[in-house]
Amino acid sequence: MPDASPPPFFGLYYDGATARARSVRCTVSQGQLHIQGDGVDRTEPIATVTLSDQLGSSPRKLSLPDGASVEAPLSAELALALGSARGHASWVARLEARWLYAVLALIASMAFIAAGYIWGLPLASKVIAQRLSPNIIDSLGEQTMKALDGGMVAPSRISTARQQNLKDRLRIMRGQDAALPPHTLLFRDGRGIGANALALPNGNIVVTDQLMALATNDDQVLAVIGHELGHLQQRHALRGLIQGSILAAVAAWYAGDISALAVGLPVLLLQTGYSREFEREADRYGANFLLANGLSPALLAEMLERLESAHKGGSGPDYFSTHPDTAERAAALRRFKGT
Amino acid sequence: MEMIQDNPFEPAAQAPLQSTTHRVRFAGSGAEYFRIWIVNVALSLLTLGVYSAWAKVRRLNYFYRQTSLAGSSFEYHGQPISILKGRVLAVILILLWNVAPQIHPLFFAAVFVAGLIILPWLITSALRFRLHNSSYRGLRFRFTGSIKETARVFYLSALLSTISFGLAFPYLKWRTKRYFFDHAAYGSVQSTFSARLGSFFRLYVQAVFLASLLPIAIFIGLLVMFQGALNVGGDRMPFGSADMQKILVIAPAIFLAFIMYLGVFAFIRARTHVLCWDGLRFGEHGFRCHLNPWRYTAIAVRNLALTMLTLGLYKPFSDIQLATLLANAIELDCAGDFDNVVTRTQAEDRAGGEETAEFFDMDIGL
Repeated sequence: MPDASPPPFFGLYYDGATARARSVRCTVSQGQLHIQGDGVDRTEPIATVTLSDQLGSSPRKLSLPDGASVEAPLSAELALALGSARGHASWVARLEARWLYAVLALIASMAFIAAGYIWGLPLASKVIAQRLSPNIIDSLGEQTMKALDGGMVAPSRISTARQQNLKDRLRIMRGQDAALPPHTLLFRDGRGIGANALALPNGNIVVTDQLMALATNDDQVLAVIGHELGHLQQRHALRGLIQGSILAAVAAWYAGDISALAVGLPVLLLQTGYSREFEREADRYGANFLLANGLSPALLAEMLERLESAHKGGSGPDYFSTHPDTAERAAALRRFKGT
Repeated sequence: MEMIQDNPFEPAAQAPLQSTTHRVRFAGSGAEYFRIWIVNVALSLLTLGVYSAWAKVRRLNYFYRQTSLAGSSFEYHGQPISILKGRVLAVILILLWNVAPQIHPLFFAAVFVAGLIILPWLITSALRFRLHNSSYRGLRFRFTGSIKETARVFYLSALLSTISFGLAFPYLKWRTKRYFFDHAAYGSVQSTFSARLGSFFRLYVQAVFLASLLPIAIFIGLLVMFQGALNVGGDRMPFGSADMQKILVIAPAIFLAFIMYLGVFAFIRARTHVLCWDGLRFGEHGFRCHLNPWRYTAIAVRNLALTMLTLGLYKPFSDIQLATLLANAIELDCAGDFDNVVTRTQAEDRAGGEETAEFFDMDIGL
């Protein structure tokens, strides 16, 4: 016949009414917990005792229904006693106990974060951007427009006739794309921002005089506008804002009590990763736009190259800039055959 | 099992002059905590953050239970559901805060004012929750402040600090620490904070002085590094462009400077820890704290650099090391025996509004 009672384990008993600690020995047998020592002699059914989960090597606590408790440091005797009476540790505690699981957890976390960055967040922001009310989108664009007109740009010097001609051609060329939000073509003297075209979330497309000067004909200007229409249709400004905010929030949470500044540069790098993807999407839209109107995507490629030399773009590695290497983009556009 | 006190049957009143010193001990292990941490991080990620409330309870409990005083360890009783409620509320508030200005300036103003009104309640809730859910030897702690007092303390100090363009910031810190450490009760004993305002002012003057040494150090460092890079590079540029070269030289300099800057914050944390704990009294018992702030700062700075270089993986090890330093520096001088500390009755508890303490927890980061 097996010896029924396991050896006793030791602990400190607290009565729950005073801060006194009493040294006790405990045994578990036949579903009963016996606590003895230093003026304590109690027996409680083990079923009424709450056992704290295993947490590394920290002591376990047995809580009795009347507020008293026993604190028991880990020992072989304790493990035996608990093992025979009830479950030893939760599944989380069992995961925490082995290095194998820790390594697996590490790999799973990294994979999850990478997947979230590459697919999860862009997908979520696309869905959110499509559902957001136009009012919010409008006010975002208005603020930027005010900032621009406040001194960064000046009224355009292009003739009204030429402006109107471009607007008319655009109306014809853009056709009936239902996903395209309402938009207005605006011309400005670029001043500080030089040769540029911007698509604001509220539908304003701003083209600078300097960019017009770079083009040899209106088809090339329309090629750039087509690219900007791509930004609008895909709601890139809004998605950029959503993705950027969530990125910043996650980074701040991850950094915790390390200053949010610590994550500034990495977050910036991550955001430019998203921006480059936006540019590629807009390139694709622009190329289709040109093909649909009987023009060649090479027009857009030429303008990109001229814009780059006009801005004397940096020779730093690709990853540091918001726009992917222009050479790459131009080559892709020239190869483009449709959709 | 070791028995610290050896007069179990003599009521405390008859041994009033026998005083003993107990050291606080932290027994946590970096390797063990890393495993706990990474498993909980993975589970939090996979549940898109929902599990994070349970993770927080486990993490806190590990630190509590590995901290012991006079042979007994502490315990954290926070319920994950309450923490989850608090976190959901925090997310909503943050969203509101970010989106409101975009919608309409008036709406933002309304949100701002509402926020100001709610803030004392949030802070008081957080303090109450934290203390109520901490226990030692089966007795719980308690926060004895009130929402009105919280409002008074925080608004007054914030106002003063703003008016004085930050000069009164040490006053803000001292006042809020005093508010917290004066209103912690354990069973039947109340806490008393004893650091003086002057000490806080002295601390921040020291910190500003340290921080102002940094730009000089950085400047000298940059000069040295530039000279070195130019001499090494010569005509053969290993990386192609002048921009790249500059980045390679400046980036480490900025990184180091940043780490040193955060080091000043670590220094402040260490000295504040000493100021708060050295002289803190619970009834007739008093704490002493002998932490060496320079040692703490050096370790904190080194850990910060390691944490950033390992993209955060070193953090759990760092947390354990710093907790060890902070805890092991504290000693308790017991006047007699603190076995005579008794718990409050249930009636007293209800009158103090303790049940609301369990409602939810805000991660204020106090």
